[in-house]
Amino acid sequence: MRRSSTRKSGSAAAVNPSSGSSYAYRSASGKAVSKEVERIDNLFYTYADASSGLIDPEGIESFCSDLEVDCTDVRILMLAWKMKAEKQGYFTLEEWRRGLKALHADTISKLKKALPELEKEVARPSNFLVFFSYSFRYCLTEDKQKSIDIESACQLLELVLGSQYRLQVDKLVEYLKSQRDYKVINMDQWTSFLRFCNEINFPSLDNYDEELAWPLILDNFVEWMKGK
Amino acid sequence: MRSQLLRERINPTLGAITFYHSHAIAFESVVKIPCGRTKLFDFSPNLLRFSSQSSNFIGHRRDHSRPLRLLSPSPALSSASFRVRIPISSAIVLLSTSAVPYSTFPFYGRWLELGFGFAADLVAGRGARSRMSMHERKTIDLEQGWEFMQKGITKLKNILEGLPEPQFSSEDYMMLYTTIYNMCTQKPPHDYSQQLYDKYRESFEEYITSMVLPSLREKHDEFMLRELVKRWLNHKVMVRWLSRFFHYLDRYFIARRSLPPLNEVGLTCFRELVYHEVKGKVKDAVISLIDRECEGEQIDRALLKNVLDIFVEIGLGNMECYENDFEADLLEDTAAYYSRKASNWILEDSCPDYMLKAEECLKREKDRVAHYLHSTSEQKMLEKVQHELLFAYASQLLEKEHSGCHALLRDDKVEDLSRMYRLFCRISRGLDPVSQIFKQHVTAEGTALVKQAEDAASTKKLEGDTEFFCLLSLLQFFFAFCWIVCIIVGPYRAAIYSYSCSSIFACRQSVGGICDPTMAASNGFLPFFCIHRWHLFLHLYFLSAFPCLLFPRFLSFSFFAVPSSELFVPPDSSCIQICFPNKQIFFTNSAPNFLNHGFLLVFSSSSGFVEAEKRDVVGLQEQVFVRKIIELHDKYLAYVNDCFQNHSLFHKALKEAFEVFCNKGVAGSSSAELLATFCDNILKKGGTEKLSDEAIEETLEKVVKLLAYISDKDLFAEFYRKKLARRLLFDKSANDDHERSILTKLKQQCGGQFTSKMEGMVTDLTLARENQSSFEEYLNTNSQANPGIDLTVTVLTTGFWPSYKSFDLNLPVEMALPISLALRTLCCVSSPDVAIDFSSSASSSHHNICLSLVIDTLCARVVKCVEVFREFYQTKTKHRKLTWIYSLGTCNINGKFEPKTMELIVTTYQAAALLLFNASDRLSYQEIMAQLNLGDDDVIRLLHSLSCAKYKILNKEPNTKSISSNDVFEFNSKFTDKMRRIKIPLPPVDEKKKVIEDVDKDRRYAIDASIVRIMKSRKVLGHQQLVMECVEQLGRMFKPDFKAIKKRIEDLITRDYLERDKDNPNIFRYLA
Repeated sequence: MRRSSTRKSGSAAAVNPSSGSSYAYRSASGKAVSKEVERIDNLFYTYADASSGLIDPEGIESFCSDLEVDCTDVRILMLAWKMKAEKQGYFTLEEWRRGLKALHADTISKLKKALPELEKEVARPSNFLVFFSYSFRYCLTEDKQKSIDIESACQLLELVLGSQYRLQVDKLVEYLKSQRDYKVINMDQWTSFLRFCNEINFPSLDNYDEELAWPLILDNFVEWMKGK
Repeated sequence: MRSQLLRERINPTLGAITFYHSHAIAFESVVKIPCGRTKLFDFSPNLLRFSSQSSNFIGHRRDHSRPLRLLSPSPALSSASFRVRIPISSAIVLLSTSAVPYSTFPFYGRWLELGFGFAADLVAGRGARSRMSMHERKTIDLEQGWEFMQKGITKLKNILEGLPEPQFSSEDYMMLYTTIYNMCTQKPPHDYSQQLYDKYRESFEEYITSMVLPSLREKHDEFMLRELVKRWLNHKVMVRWLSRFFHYLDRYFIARRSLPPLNEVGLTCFRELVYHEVKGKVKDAVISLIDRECEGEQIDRALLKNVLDIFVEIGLGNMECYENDFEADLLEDTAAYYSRKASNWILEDSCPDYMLKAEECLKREKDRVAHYLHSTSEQKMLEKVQHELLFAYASQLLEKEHSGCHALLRDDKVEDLSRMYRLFCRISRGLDPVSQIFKQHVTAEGTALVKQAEDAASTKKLEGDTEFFCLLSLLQFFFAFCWIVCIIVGPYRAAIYSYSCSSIFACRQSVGGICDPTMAASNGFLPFFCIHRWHLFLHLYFLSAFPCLLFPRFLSFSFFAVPSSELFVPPDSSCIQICFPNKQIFFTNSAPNFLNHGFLLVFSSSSGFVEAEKRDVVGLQEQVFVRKIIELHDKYLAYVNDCFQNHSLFHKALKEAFEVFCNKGVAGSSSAELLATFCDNILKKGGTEKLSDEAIEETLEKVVKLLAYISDKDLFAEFYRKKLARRLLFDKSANDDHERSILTKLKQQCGGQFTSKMEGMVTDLTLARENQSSFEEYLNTNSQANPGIDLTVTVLTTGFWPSYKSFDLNLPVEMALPISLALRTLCCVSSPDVAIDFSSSASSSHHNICLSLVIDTLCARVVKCVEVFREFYQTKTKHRKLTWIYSLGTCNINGKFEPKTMELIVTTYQAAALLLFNASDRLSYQEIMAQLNLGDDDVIRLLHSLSCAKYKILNKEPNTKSISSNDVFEFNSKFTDKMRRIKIPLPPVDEKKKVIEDVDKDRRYAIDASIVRIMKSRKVLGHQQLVMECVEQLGRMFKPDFKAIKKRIEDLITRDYLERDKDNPNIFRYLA
């Protein structure tokens, strides 16, 4: 009964970098731009693994320490979002260029300065939803994986929503860890968490309507909350 | 009257015919003249031509008022009949004849029969003609003319007043008419039409003011009414006559000026002058009369009728006068009257009395309308009365504490309920509260039944208690008797004591023991000879009796007198004989033996009683519950049909009420299960219900009806299927026709999908029976294939039947039984005819086979049997996999016990277990389990049936009532029974849990399918709509839980069938 997701692989193909396109990009850009690109590329190669041509988890670690940011910090996730990074723990050159160009940063110090700006950008409501769903997709490491386990979901929730909705996240995480009905969280449930935090008064929950299309997991959560 | 007039006027002496114009449209008449031929009058605007064969009559019609001469009289016409045909524009209305010079005019001396196509005023004036014919008429002035008229009018008045006055002759009448005619046809300024018109009115007014009003004013009440009626009648006569005198005005003057016609003027005069003055008085008088009638007085109904007719007639076709001047007040008065009455009655009378009165009142009002009110009042009157009597007090009336609707329903007051329906169905929304109460009542009754059943279930043990007391008192009697006997008969004393005490032990054992019904049969009491003194007996008796009282349970005393057993004696020398060691003999000395047998009878019969009772109570209370529900439904359906006239509101109420309590389970069983069990009990052999065929049909019909109220129809189907499978496979079905008939009924009610599997099951069985012979033939023709055992195989189509565990039943029999022991099993296999039915539709489908073994001897060659059947089956079909289900098989085996050889009917499992004892005398639980290759559950179950239940084929050590894994089993060679052939039942596994799980799983698929179906057609749909449509689609089978639907939606989202709309999270989109 399980359908294979053709859409996801399609979109992945569209974003995947190819050397040909990067070449065309470079040759078409102006002189100043090409200089900037060069610096960005150089920065990339300081962290990239020579054999794979990617920034691997090790590279990211050293990148983070240079940036003086913890590698589990939400800002790294934001950076990954800006780069539209496909695979958790890896940056390709294409992604790197995309992200750093957009931030107008070609050195670590510039990047450091750009981070608060990035945070503000992400915090914008229109962007936040995109970022929020991106964070979920970013956690899907396996092919055809559609859901993440409760444990990771809780961590991610803390990371992404923790600063904004402390109360909700605490309760939700407590509930998710105590319940036994669900072992994994899917995209729909994930996005509905954000919607829940945005729309529902907490902790009164007075405007929550079970009749609406909230996922059952939130119905259960509300029930659990009310029971307490 | 008119035709009379006509005949008078067309007198034999007349000689000319005068035609006048009229407003009529068409006219055709046949003038018949004796012995005549048909002639035609052709009427052209100014010429009348009379044609006949012999001559032509031509009449000039210079003026419409002038007589037309028929010029050429001919004797030939004397007997002609001719037709007058007149163009549409004009018609003959007035026919005036006068003497003409032609004395031979053919009409002479004859009656003319003139049949006119329409009513025409015919006025003819012979005298008028002679005096006032066109040529010799003088001008009449107003004074002169009116004086003449006045005379006529006065005469009329006098006649009306009843003064002596001769009647009007035709001549007088003619004169008066002609005068008016002449005065109106004179040339201006002598045309007095307007003046005459005024005078006409004045003459009424004068008469009314001078005569009518005074006479009315001086009378009152009823007399006034009578006077009014009389005056009105007179007035109408007067109007009729005067308008006739003045008729000519009507025809031209009034028509031309569009003035009110004479008739109306006359009536208006009365209305203006009389009616408006007296209407108030009249109305009061009438209403007071009606009030008097309401109080039971006799009144003159004819008078009232006449008075009320005035109200109607005075409106000249308009009901306003009646409605405004009378009816409104009457209604108000009626309302006030009944309001007064109702407020008293509601306090004093009970609901049925009140309704009786109300119905009586309505009837009286209806009667009243029929007798003297106008028919249009009926509806209004009844509405008023209903409003005052019923609507205003509806809730108060229906909820009267001791006699309201509740009480009527409670006391089955069918009559009163019918009356209630009749009364309340007329007022708007009047039935709503009645149906509500009806619903509440039925719900309460049903809920009470549910509660009762619940109580019965929980006090089942208490019931057992009472039985126990009965038994105890019986025992007491018995012991007392024994005690007396033992005093008298010394030698037997010891034996009696011992027996008594042993029974007490048995007592205690079963009391403190197991509640499982199948285990309750007690088998052991060992310390027979340990007590020898009677005071000890008493001591022990009480010692054991008290715990019995404290922990009541069903008692079952199963006293096995186990004689010394020898061994199985094979009837067939070819079989290996297996010997069993001698068993312990209980009673060796003769004296206690006698007692033993004597007592045994008593005890076993009482034990049988208790056991039977207990088994019944389990099924019985469910049975009784369903029965009661059916009765309840019958009763209230009859109410709906009879008392409530099949009204849809009550059908709905009944349905809703039943849905409430029919979906409550009883003691952990859902009603779907109860219904299925109930059906099973009816349909199976030896069920507790003993019914005739008709009664069974009827009951089934009702059960199916009840099913409509149950929301979990799928659960019923699943339970029913399980039970049906049991009935069919174990040959427990009492009647094939009934099986089919209930399926037909279910099909009608729930659709073909609902029953398709069950029908398939029944068909499978039929096919199996039909083709039993086919396999036998095969065996006969292939004698080398014949395994030498009778084998019956039923091939079941996968999918139709409930799923059975088949893999872990992997041929335990032949695996466990070494063939070297030369165990021969005779199996006879029958296969269904798959040629057409199966091969076409399911050529690759798997068939489960239920194996029934009939084992003649304690030998088995099951493998051979299975092989043989498989080969046979291959000849008929290809590409089919047979899976053997041993759990459903039965075997007949011969057991060679010491007392006698007995045939045991056991399941294949039991047979397999028993056959193990051909190889060894003693087997431990573990050994049996290992050899049978079965799970713990199954082994415990079958060993229990063989060693702890009614028939103890195996002895167990230790001798307890439950099986534990440390037990050791031994063949009980001393076993015997009165019967030569016994059936050892293997209680079925409780499948309730599995059924519910299966249904749950099926529901998930059903919800998925339904959601996808809906979304496929709608593409985009809101969450709530989706849920609603889903519930609606599935409602026929079950009521899906909202949460379940949500969960399935979530799952479908994960599986990419649906997605949430990006902008509105409450909308789903279908992903194609």
